[in-house]
Amino acid sequence: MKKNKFLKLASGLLMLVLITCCAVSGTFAKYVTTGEANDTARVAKWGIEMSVTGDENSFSTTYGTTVASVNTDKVVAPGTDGTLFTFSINGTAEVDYALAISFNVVKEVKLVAGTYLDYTTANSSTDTFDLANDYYPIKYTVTKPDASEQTFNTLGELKTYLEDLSKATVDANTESGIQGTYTIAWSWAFTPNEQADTFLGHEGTQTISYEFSISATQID
Amino acid sequence: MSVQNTPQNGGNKKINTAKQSSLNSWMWMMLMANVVFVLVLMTLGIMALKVGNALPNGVDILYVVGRDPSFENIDDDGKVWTNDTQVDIFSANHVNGEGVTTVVSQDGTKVIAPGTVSTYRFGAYNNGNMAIMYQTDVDFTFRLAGEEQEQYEFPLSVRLRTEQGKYLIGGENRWIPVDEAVATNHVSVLGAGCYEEFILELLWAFEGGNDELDTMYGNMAVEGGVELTFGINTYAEEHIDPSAKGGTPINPEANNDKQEYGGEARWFWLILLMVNTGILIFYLSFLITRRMQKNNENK
Repeated sequence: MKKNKFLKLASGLLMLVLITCCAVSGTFAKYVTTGEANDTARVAKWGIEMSVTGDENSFSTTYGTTVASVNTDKVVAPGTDGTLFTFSINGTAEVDYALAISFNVVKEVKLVAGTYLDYTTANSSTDTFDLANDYYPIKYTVTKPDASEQTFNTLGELKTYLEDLSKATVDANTESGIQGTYTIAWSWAFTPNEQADTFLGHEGTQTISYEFSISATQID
Repeated sequence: MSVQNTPQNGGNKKINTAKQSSLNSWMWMMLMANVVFVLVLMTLGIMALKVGNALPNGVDILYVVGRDPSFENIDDDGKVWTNDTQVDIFSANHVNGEGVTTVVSQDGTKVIAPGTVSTYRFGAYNNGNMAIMYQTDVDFTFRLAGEEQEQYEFPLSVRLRTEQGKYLIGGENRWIPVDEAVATNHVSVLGAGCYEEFILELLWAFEGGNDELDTMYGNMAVEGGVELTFGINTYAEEHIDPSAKGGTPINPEANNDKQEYGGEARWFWLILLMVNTGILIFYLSFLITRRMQKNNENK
């Protein structure tokens, strides 16, 4: 009986030890923690819209019923006119950008100062006329977004004007200063210089050609 | 032939019984002593831990220091990370290498654009008195017009390094696309009272080689919006060795020897406890077995 009591006592003590172990086991429990951080951003807006239209139809093979090309070549003549091209630029960006306008004069109709045969007379083989200054028969008119107009005598002058519209830096969230639509028209007046016009028409070899581009590029 | 109960035989039987009784008594005494010893160890351990937790950091009793875990992430703005903490990885404006602001948000919300580098500094601080092991990973979410995209090609790259220049993601001349970086985990050890600082960089290369893609996203930003979220996550747990080393001491002048959870005394105590528990179990098993044998003999 005495040993039974001892056995029971020992068993009870063992249970007590086990219970204590459970309590102490909390000291060996792993400490854990987590940290989370995040941030959200959106892509900065670009939104610069540019367009160039009409450049493929700057000139024509016919103008009404009075001027018509003998073949498929496009022609210009005294009394003809048209739209060289139209370009527009709109939008603001959230980034700085550069606006570049390029106008390249490939060919231009002109008669440099000098003496030429006068084909307006009956003796065109011997009669001559003098040009004191270079003659550019075609004039160009720019209609700006505010509807005002500016006329240029040569493609060279037009080039200077257009390329001066370029901006080295357009600050973010500001307008370029040339927002809107620009229309460039051309015309060859009918009466200014009949001798020079007739000479050019008799030769029929001169051409007019240009290249135009506009681009907006983000600045780093 | 019968064995008579001579005084000599009766004496031997009495001697054997006495010896057996003495052995049993010793066994029981050892058992009791062992139980008491185990209980004493348990009590001492609990007392040391409870008292140690109440002690100021660095104070110890017989080189047994209370468990005082403390780990947190803090960024350069002083913001402490918890759960889903909003921090300032991105910004509303960006300045280029020449100090010129070239990207400006229209409405003050944070933006990125080609050429922008977003830099974020944060630290992992173990202010406790035990070493911890922590893991860092990143995640990225991309949304078009508010819809989260599962598949995408976005020209954003990431690097993550310690202040000392050890790269966890990418390298000195190597950026990792964000959609590839999400699978990268980093596991490190911070000793008690130590810290480690990190620098996170997110780059949208100006000459990334795909102007069309960049411009497309810029125009889409006008139409429906292009949004992204970048996250950093840390998971810290108690190191199996509380005295493990790692990181830079927060206070180099402090006596870090005392900033150990238990130190060597802890292991000694643990071994003693295990050994004595084993002995206790052996005693009990032995006694129970003898008891069962005796019962069988009586039957």
